[in-house]
Amino acid sequence: MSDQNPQYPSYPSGGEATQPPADGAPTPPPAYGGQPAGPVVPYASWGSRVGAILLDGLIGIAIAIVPIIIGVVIAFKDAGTEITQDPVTGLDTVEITGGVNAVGVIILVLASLFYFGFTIWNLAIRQGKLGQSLGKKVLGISVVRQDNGRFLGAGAGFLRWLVAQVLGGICFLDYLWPLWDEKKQTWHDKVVSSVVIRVK
Amino acid sequence: MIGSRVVENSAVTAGRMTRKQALASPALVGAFGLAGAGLLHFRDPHVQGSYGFCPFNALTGLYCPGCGGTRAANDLTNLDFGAAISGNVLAVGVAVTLIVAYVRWIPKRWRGEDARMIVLPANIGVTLLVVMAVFAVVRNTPWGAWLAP
Repeated sequence: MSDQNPQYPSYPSGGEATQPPADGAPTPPPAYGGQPAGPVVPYASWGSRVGAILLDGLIGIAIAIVPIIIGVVIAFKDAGTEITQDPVTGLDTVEITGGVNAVGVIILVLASLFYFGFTIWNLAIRQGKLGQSLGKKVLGISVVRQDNGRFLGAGAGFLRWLVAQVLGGICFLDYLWPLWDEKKQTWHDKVVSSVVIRVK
Repeated sequence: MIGSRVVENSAVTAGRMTRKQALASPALVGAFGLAGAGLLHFRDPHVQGSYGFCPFNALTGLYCPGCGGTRAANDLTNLDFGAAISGNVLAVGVAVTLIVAYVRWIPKRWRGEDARMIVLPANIGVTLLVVMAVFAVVRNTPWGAWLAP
């Protein structure tokens, strides 16, 4: 669903008068001096962004699942269970016997670090430098700066990811906001002045 | 540099769609809306725990801005406007806004415009969040008891 609104130049409204939007009527762009009427920005649909983030999650799970399973198997290979029945009440008590294997625990910790590292690289660094996480590449959408269309860079990309973790954790409205936002921005987009656009 | 080229290359003019394409979105939104209203009508949220519990309320004992919202929606499906407003006036406002926006959206899509149902400029969005925050605070005070569910 693309946006028929003319692109608003530069920054989010710094207090210019805007019409009540309840009807979704396109408001005329404020006249900024010297700003040429740009092309309509093809903001990415909310659905494609949800698809990209689900895909990124699946990729993360796919690459971490094997070491995690190996770690769990090794960690608990010596563990067993012993069932004793209480003679009076007839209730079974399950007791875990044997220790947890240290090598397995180390593998689990490494697998978690690997998953965490991949997530940071994919959603913060890569998305900042190239505009796309792996999921966004598949969906054909890209994160760019709203004022000049350039990529954020690794630093701002990391900040955007971090803010998403915090704001998204506090309130789901962060993720829903593009549904009604003028520039289809989440709150973490607004913090780093980014927009997500279609690139194919 | 590259990013800026990307924007220009992929810039598309807001084109016309066939009527069928244009009306697909309102049809989908309408179907979800009716399904939601039907669910809230027949599975009564006034029954404790019928939809689980508000995590904020369970944790803090305080009302969040959404508390009483599903009950108010159920009241609306029963056309009991008084009960709905006293349950969560904000939710009633949202429901009315959504219905009005939806009704006004359909003729635009009918004409083949690629219009969105609701578009909020940034300052209106911020205003709504402030209203929500104030509502959340006031309904937890003794003077705002009339705003509590």
